[in-house]
Amino acid sequence: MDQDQKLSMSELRVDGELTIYRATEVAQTLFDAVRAQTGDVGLDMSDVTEFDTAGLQLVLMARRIVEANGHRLDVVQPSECVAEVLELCNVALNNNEVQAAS
Amino acid sequence: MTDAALPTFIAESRELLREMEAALLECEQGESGAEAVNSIFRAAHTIKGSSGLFGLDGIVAFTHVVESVLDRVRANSLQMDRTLAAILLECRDHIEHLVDAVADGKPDDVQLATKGESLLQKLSARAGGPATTHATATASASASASAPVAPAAGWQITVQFHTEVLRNGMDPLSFIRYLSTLGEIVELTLLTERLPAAEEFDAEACYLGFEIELASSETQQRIEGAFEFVRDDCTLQVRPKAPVASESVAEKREASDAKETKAAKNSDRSLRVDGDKLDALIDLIGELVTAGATTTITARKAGLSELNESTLRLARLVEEVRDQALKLRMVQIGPTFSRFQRIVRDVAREIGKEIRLEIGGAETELDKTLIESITDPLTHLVRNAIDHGIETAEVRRNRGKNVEGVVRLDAYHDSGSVVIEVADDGGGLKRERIIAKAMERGLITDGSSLTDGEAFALIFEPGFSTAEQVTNLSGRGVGMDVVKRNVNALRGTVELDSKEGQGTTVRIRLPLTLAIIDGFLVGVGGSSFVIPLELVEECVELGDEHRAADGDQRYINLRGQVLPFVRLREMFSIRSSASRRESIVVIRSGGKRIGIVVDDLLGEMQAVIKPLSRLFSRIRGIGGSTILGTGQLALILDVPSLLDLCLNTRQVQVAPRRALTD
Repeated sequence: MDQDQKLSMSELRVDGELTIYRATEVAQTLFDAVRAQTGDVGLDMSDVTEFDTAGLQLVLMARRIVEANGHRLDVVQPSECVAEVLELCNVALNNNEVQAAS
Repeated sequence: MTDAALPTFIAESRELLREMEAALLECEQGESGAEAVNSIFRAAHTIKGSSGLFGLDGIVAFTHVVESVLDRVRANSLQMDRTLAAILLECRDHIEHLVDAVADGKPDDVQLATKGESLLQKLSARAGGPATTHATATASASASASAPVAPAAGWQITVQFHTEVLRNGMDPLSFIRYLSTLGEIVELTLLTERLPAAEEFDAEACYLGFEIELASSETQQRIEGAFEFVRDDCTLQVRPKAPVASESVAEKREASDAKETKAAKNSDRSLRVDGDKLDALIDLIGELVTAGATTTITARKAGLSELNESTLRLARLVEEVRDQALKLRMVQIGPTFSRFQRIVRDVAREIGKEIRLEIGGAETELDKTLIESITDPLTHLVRNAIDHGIETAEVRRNRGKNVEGVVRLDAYHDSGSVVIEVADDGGGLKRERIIAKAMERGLITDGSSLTDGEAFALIFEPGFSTAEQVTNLSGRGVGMDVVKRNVNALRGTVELDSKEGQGTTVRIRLPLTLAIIDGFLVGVGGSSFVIPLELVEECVELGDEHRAADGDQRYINLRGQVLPFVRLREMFSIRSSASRRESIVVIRSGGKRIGIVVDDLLGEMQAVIKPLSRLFSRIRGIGGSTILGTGQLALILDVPSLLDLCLNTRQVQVAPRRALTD
């Protein structure tokens, strides 16, 4: 997991398999990384190769943690499998979309 | 999970693999319904899940790929056809080998792993890479949604997946995807309110639910069926979203849903019990039956009416317990029959014949030990039918028969025994050739006087084979005699019907159970004999005109019909003079009727069969012994072989008498 600091939005990156098989391990790292952020977070998921319900829950939890601090978490460049799941479950890539939808 | 559970895993996996095989064969024959595909998926899925629990990563990895292909078949993004079914069948075999390797304690076989790799390549070549899964699934979903179908009704679906669902190896998303093949998802809301605080979050637990509005022309049942695999792992509510649907209707539906789920849960309540425990129980019940009989006799002697009454009640209960216990051991023959689908397919392919297996009477029940012991003889008979019975396609065409040959397995109950038939519509047996061969082998000297049945029975003699062409399957001179020996060892008989040019039927007749029989007790001199009750038709008094000890006439006129009879006294050389009044017990077995002359009729009893020791195994006419309530021993008559003895008068004088007096 890489971590790039940007000016306005810090970017985190997860890749590989984001499924039940790695969920516990990824959760630890992801949540710690997210907590360490002070501003809005962009989550780069362009290289996620597999994505299931467990993976989806991780993203939702990460978003919650960030939102608890009054910021937002956007999914950046979702890979095909991520996009498919998010679309299927009506999960917005970013908060603008949510507002636009509602 | 400890290793103690491993044997259960192996047994269950094998069972699932058998189901999978049957379903795959169905698919291969082009009769695949959604049910077959579901059953294949369920098998692969469960095996993957359980192997994960045992850390059998090899099996998990391989099965995972198979499962995802099956998932796509379920979602209609991949067509199940002959080729795919054949490849999946190979994959199934591979999983079986993997499970076998685990059973043998060497799960890391390199050769197997290589084999698996090449199989997976073959599979992905046919099914396409897993990367395209979602794209195609979505595409086909939208395609099916846009297809002109019956007016779609609105359905409101609420589903909360339970915490354990992920750990059980299910991905809720796949069910939502599957749902999208049943109709159009108009609206979907992810229910996330169960997500806990970050500290309490367990990444392997599921906290999600879905609220879905589905436009679909499917029935409520089909929609609920989409969640079949997670029935126990989710709370599901499906309601029609029609404006007319009032609250009360919806509520009623929910109530009936709840009832249905409960019923469904009850139906798969079964228990795996160690066979030895069951055998021990049956043994004990056998002793109980004997002890009960003793008590009944003692009570009768004591002459206390109250005691008599209570022993009678006790006897009735013991009888019920016995019946229930025996039922525990009864299993349907269907699964055993289904296993032959594969054998028929493989063997037929190997020798280039087109053969279909038909199965009848799959629900016929018989004792589990019997089923186990009958599998080998059956295999032999089926192979024989394929190999020698059914002609090649060319010959069949010339004879004006359907090119596809049929082998038929059938089972049914018939007067206290189970009959299993193996029939083929092949060339039938050639009487002349059998007789010629038998004479060549010195089994008979002259065949002209033999009936067809007797001639056909010759092929059950040791060292007999009429096949002109020896293949690697059977027809090497071992076989039918082994079949006969095995069946006889189970107190059963084999007979054979054949019409040249039309086919052959081999009929195996077996007792229902090996442990206990309802018997009819008779006495001759000081000895007691038990006749299986279900064979007894009636008892009549032996008229004076037939009383002459060695009279030539060995038949009576029973209401206008000829009834041959035998005297047990003579058969077993019992040295006592006949009593003043003798009776004939009329028995029927295998379509033949015969009378047995005895001194006393002692009534019905339950007999726990004690097998005769090997020393006596060659005695014909006796199937076993039992201990009476008085502590006395009684011999159980083996009626079919007794009939054999009596109706073949040439032999009747010799066999048992010599055996008993030796």
